[in-house]
Amino acid sequence: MSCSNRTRDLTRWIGCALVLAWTSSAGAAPFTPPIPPQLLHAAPRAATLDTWVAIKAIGGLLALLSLAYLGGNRRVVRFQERLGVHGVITAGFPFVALGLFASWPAIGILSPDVITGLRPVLHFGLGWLGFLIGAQLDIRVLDRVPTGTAYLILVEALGPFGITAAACGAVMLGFGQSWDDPDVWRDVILLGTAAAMTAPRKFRGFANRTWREGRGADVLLGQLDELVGVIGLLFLTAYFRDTTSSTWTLPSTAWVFVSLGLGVAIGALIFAMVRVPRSNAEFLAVVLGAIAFASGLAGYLHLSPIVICFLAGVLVTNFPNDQRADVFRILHHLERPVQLLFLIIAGAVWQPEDWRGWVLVPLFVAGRAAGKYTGIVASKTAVGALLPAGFTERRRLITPLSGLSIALVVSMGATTGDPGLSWVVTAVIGGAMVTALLIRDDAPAPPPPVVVPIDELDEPGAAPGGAPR
Amino acid sequence: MIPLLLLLAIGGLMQAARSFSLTAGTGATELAFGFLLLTAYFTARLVNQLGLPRLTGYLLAGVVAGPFVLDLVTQEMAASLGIVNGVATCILGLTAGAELNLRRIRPVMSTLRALIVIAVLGGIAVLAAVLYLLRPMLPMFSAFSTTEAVAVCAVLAVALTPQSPAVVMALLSETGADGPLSQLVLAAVVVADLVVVLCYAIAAASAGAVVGDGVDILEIIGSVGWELAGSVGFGIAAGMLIGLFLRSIERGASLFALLICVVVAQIGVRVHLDPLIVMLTAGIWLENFSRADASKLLEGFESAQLPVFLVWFALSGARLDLPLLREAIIPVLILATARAAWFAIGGRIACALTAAPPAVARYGWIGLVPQAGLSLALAVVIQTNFPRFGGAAAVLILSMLAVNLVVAPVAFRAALIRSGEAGQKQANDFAPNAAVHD
Repeated sequence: MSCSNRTRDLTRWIGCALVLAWTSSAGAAPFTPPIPPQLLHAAPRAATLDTWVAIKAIGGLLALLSLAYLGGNRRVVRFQERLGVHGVITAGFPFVALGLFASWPAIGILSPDVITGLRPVLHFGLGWLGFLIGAQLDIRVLDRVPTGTAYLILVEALGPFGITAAACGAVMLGFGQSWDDPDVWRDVILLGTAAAMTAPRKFRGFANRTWREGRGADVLLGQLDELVGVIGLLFLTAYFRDTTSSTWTLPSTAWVFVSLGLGVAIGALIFAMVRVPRSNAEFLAVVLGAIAFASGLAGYLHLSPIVICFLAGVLVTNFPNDQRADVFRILHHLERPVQLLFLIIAGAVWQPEDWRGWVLVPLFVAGRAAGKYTGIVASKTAVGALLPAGFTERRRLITPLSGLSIALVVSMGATTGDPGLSWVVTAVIGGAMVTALLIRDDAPAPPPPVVVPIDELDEPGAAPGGAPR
Repeated sequence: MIPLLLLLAIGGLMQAARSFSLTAGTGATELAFGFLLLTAYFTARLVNQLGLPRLTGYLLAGVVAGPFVLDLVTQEMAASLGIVNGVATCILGLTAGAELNLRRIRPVMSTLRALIVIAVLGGIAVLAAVLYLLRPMLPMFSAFSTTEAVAVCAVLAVALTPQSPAVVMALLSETGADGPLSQLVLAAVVVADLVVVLCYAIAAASAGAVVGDGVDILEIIGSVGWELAGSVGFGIAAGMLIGLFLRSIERGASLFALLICVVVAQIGVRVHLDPLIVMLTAGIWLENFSRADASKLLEGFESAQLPVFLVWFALSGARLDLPLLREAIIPVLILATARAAWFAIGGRIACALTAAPPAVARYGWIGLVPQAGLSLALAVVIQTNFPRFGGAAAVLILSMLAVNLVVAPVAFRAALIRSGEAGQKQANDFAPNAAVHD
């Protein structure tokens, strides 16, 4: 077995080990030790949980996780491509549905207790996504983006943000919500931020998103849209936070700086740490430990793991070092299992029974399309002449929703613990599904020959993975 | 210097975070996981520069960060990571079993038998005698008659005897050791654990009859018998399953074996099986009786041993109750010395009787001294089965375990290096052999 194959297997199964460990512990009974606390780990002998319930829960979880692992297998991916449903499936919606299905009380696999126990996995997954996205943001490359791109991004992000937020906000007020309620503002901003983010037309995970000269406009826009999303989340977690369970009393603006400072501190720490390991096993331990530590710190301080790990990832990538490719390798190999497991959990915590969330779905999709149209028209008029072919004239009104959008709303829900966010979650997950279906119907036309590739998958011999070449 | 600075930075961040909330809230589990993983790794780097095993560094990180020293990782956090411990135990068991090649042990089989009989079974007798002599120093014996005290001493002696396949595996991996000494010690600690479980059934049943602590003798015999036979049976089934997977599918075998580990760690304990014995048996089956190539599995598992060791031993360190140890330090030191001394004497007698290879004769006994998981499990069982003396017995067992866990790995690592077996294992890209050369 080659070294790279071994690394892939190793990182995959280590990632799954972490997830499995936590998921199965979530399905286990609370320990009932009649003994000193230091013996807690040996106490399962005294556990009182009904064995059959435990076996059912753990067996079900294992089945789900095996599916998640299989979903990341290259053969399965190739089979999906042949079926023509790759776009919908790779966006991960079947796994959201699986999570939802497993959380039904009649099924009893992902019960409320189990979901509570899954929170560490959720936090780790969010932190991992944030780190991966941040690590792909090479600031030096951004110096070389075509003139006018900043304007293009601004208007194409602001359009969907403003229109979606306004439309959904109006409906929420119609449902009896009050302007005076800060949570309404939070939800509206969150919906707008989620709507602003786009993904490349052919989604192949988060680990292949680094824009470089010659790659399509949608890759660049998707990457920068995610930056907008992270900034939005930074402010949301700073200004809309639960202050009751903390011993720190800080003004909201100070939390923005705490987030930035923590992200930078952890980034610098990880940058220093990855220089120490001498073998792949050591490197894996350090990267896993660093992301778990960073996401744990963020969760502990009621900040978003996505934001903190994003900042850390940006720093690790942009400081000069020889370990950059190794970091990407570890991140890339763990990507698919972590993403799919994250989607299963997102499905499990999703509460779609509130019909008001579904009312927001068409508004969310239409708001994005209208906002995109506005943005495209504005950018074509203002900077169209400055940009290369493919940047403005081949833009689409309906663009896939970035996977980070779902992570964003789930992260907010996990950070605030507010059940009222179920509307927003429904709107974003439902909106993402509808968008993926619309894009699939829109897809059959063969791509015309272009000088500049529109998408990374159009490039002959495009290599998977985000490692810089 | 850099590891020290990194440790200070990580510790500072952890301390700052802990000041945010008085209770372990959101993020506490992954925070503790990441913190222990990182601090164990960097502490090991520091400790290794002093010529000590990395394992000592893992433990030290756990002790210092744990609830009894700096309290950066609270008891609640450590408890939330219990499942990591369970799965890690299974992985260690499977790896240890799959490393055990009976054909390679055959030349020293007579030594193995003699070690078990003289050193391990003899050790139980010696420890029981020392405990009996130490009665005036141990208040738990004050309420017992002479006959009862003898029975209690027997139960305690069994619980104080077990070895540690986990520690042995960790040190073999760290030093990259291979050879007669490594193979024999690994085999001895695995077999000794099985023997001790059997001895516990006998001792507990006898003590139950004598002490009459509301103990159902038949129930004890039945439950221990089930635990032993059932675990071996399930272990063979698990080994066959993994072997089948290895032969028919091959790719992803590590993940499949990991899934088995999770199931055994979680479900096994609920049907009263011992996860360590189950996975040890599975590993032995794979290596010795299956047509599958266990080396493929080992290759995958070897790659991930380091993170597993880091968390497993750091958590073990975090659970060492230092105040408890301080209270019982004198009898514990006497018992630990007696145990090690008997293993040295018994081991040498066993090797002399069976003309064992020189390295085995000289250093073999040291591998029997490390102590970990099984003693801990027996402490829990004793506390549950014998309410009259179980609490005090658990304190004694834990304190003894703490001493052996800290001291014995240093000695065993030195023995592996001096025997010339360190670094003899074929280097693997992922095997952290650096420890020997640092």
